[in-house]
Amino acid sequence: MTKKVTIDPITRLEGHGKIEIFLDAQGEVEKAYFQVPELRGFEIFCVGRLAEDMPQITPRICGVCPTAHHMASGKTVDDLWKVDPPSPAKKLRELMNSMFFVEDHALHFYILAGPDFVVGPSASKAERNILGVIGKVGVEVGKKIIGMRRELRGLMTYLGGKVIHPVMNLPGGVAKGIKPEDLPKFQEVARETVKFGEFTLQVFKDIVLKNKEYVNLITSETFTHRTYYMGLVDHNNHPNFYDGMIRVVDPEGKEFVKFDVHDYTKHIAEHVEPWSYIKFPYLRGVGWKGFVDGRESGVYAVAPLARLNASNGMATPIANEAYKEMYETLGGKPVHATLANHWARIIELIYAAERMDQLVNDKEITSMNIRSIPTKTPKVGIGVVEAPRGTLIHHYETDENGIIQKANLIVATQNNAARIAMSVEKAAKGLIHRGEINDGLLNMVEMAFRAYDPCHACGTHALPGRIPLRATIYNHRREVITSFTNT
Amino acid sequence: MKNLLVLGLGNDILSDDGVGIEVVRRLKKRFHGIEGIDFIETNEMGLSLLDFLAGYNHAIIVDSIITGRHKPGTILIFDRGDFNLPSACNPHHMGLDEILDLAEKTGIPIPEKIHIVAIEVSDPFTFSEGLTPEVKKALPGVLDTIEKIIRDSSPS
Repeated sequence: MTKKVTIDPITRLEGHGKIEIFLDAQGEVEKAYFQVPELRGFEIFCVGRLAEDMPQITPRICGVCPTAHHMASGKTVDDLWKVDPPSPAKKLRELMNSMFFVEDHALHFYILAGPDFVVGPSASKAERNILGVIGKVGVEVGKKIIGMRRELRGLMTYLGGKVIHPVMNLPGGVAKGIKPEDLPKFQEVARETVKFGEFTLQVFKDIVLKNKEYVNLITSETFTHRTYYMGLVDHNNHPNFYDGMIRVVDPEGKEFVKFDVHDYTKHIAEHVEPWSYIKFPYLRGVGWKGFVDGRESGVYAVAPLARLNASNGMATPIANEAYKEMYETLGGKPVHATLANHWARIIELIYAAERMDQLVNDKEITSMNIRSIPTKTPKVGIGVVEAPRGTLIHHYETDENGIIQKANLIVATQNNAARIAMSVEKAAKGLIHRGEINDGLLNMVEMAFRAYDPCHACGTHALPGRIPLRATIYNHRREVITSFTNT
Repeated sequence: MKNLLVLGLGNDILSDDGVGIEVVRRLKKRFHGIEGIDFIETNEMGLSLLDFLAGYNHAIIVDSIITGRHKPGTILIFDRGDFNLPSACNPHHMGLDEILDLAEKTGIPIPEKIHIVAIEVSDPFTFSEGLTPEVKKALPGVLDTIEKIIRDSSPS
């Protein structure tokens, strides 16, 4: 049976993201919820499979950040067999992860944040997209983004076999190195990528920072939460996306705890709410006090701004200058303004590009000593990396034959879930008054969670290829008074 | 320009989300030995689809859909004009219309003709290999539908 139909966006929203806003008798926001569907059964799916297959299975959870799962999984199978990859293998993995960060952060800025800040938060829906951005900044910029992306993906394919289903990581190392004759291409792209990062920062400064209205919006109380922040740091407490200790700072910016990922269950607990499938992680050492901020509440954040807040500077020079400038401009550390994530993301883009440049000029990078062969009996493996959207933890347990008995993942967006819910509610409360709601206001509410780049239900992508979101507003009698969609 | 691309979208470890992949795998067998048609499967989306579409004259995209208005297994056919939906909320989920417009603006050659064959699904949220029974039952019809599109649009 074949039917020709015209798509009605609203009917497509079943089972997808939704915001529900409840008003009181005066038309003020009483409560707002942000809900997403959960992907079910991942652990059951993994049980009984070969542990060494996990670096191939886990990237398939998500069509957006396969590389991050591949990296976390690679480190977890190393840990499972207690095998330490040779230094060149670690550098190749970090190179791969750095390229992925550059690509992902760039797309976020130009395609997701760009429409809000380049075109404007109150522009019409029809203009608030990448084409609107190109209309403002010129088609050459569009070509630059696409060109840079193509180059990076070419190199990621070289290392990973495929971008989307990488086959690079093996327990104890990687499957492929860089041939000396191919290195110049990596070096050339790395140089270009650093320039692209600097260019992007300039675009941000010119378009966002020079506009007082935008700066006021970024720093407004509506988009502010004083929470704890988490990120992976090196021995200098600089962010490192591939390896290090998990550092948490309190809302005043002081170190609360620094721990090895093996201790994650000692420090992270999960809270369950009746209205959401998502479990809300919080700091065990502080405790769950509800969806509130402040020192007494165990809510914490991950992702770009959190990583910068949880660190003492960047490990590379250009990014470090940009880091200092951001904190000077926004009144010191930590910055609690959610929308500053966009700025932090560009600083991280520059760091990832500079790190890429360092790695491709490292004399070990063409070494073929890229694998240590595992010899021990597997039992438990835990690994962590930073994904573009925040700290990502994998944890596998196996029998003595390496067959998975248990798999637990804490994905980046899940770490942010409590703060995202708080941001949506606070934005709704700050912006919607006396029952007055319009498209511009709804977009401002959406901006609150877009800054986190949440990646819920990331594996599914039924047509037309985006996660639709519906906002429903109820009056004090719980009757629907209006609803909006982002499509 | 290359002639025809049949592009299957979806995630083959997420139940019905993998229907596009399964269809393309079966079509590849059905058209084995016939030149001028490329069969590609991917679980990517958004801007990445341009990497696949660029350079073809004609593309048939096979994917899952949830309209909630049709029985699982129903085949729906769209063309580019049916996806006139503005603005994405996630950069990785740019709509098809948006990426095609972007390609046109930046000079990337995109197919003149695009057919989208969507199959209404019931469960794209559970990690599992294999399709739900209604969707599986619809597969022969989907294959025939696409074969007809291919035959109707071939130059001979």
